[in-house]
Amino acid sequence: MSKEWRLKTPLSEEDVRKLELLDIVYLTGKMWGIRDENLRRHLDHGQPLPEGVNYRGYPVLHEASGYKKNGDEWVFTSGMGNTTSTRMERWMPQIVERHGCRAILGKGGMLEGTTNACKKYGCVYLSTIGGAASHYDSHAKIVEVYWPDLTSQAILELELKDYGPCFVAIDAHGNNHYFNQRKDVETRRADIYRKAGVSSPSASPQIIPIVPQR
Amino acid sequence: MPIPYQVVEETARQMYGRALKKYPPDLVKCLRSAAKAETNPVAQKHFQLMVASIEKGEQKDQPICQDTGMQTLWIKAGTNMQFNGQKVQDAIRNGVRRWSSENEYRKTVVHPVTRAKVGEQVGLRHPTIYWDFLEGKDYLEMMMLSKGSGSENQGFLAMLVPAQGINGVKQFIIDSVLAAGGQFCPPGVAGVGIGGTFDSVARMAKEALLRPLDTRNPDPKIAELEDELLEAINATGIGPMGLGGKTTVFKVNVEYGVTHETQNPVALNLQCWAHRKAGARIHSDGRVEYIDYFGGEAHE
Repeated sequence: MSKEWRLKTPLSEEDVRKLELLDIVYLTGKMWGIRDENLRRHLDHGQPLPEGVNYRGYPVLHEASGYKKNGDEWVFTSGMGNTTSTRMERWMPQIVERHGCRAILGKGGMLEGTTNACKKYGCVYLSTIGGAASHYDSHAKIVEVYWPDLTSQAILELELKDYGPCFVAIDAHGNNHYFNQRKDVETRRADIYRKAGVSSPSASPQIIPIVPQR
Repeated sequence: MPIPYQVVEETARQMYGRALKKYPPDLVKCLRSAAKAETNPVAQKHFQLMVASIEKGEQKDQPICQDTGMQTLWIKAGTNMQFNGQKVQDAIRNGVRRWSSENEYRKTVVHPVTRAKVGEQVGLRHPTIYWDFLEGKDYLEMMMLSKGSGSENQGFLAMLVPAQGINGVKQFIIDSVLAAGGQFCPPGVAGVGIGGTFDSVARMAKEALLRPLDTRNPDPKIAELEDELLEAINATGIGPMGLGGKTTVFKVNVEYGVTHETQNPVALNLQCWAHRKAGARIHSDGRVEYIDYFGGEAHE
């Protein structure tokens, strides 16, 4: 049965090591919003993070948002939600290792590299519900926008109050809920095909390439 | 009397907003019944929050999902109407552009090579507009789908060969859903195209998403295929957001077209639970009615 945790950021290693798969977390405090173009600028093009940006100990969200400045305040226009984390797989092990973030929030899961980094350095992956921006962004405010020239791909400093539910889907001990699910599906694959009336599934990919059989 | 283009523009503008903020009633029904059938507590929690999120979006008058999507439009024009097709297209593009910029939504459209922002929600070949006709009618119907990227990235197409038959088609769809996992924000809808050509099969898969979720394909063989695929896909247990559960898709809608004797094309376009679609019927006198699907009952 899932346990429920209310955690304040920054998070300690102990905070995240105690979390188990499918535990439910609500976060209060600072979080960073990151995504494709700001990760590319920093990690592919080597541009140092802007002054004031430091992920160490904090959760980072694979974020997607529409916002504008209203006087001195940042306000959401089309809202703020999550985005598909697998797109960021190439970069995230480095964010865990070099920048010491303690939680990655997003949707859809992450792969081996991030799972291993989470285990080694003490970080978790939290799945949030995609498309539910109108719920989640009621629990978040934008404090500052870094690299604003990237517009919707900028880095966001966020302040959270009871941001959740966030579901632990990769823990800090090498367990990946998506991989577990997938292993389970593999044991039932023939049954699944049979339900659609496929009795002799082909072992090969569906596309027939013009290459000699190896 | 030609159709008033100002009305077309204003309707396209409103439709975009409605697609983002107003949830289609057939999907709300599916969401509620899937929630009732679910026994997995984590999946139940997802359903509760999805329903709450729809209500919150309406309260805040804000899109349910922040990804305001890429827009595809289908127009069915009555053959008794007079209009300049170019002007209708321009009006639609202008309506989409205006809604996005007036509301200062996230500008998601970029150049595919440089990735530079276009700066508005319209650009080269976007939005996609498809034309069809309604024999003997004196009105025009439009449907808009505004798909977010999480689900659009989970699109699959294969030019299978006849030797692979319908079994190959089914296996391709199941394998593709397994590859997508939780990435398309399940539970959602599977739009499937079978037959046609490389381009038309993709179009069929997307068009399948417009069909109401409480309908079956009128061809009994295809309807049976929809049922079989639904059962198989839900047997994967992928569930809400890929964390596990009974419902991975609410419905499989299949559209088909004749194909070449040497071809066997198949396409799958997955749609997320935040199924953003809207429609309108514009009469030649400028009267506008909103609809949820082609030929649907008018409301407001």
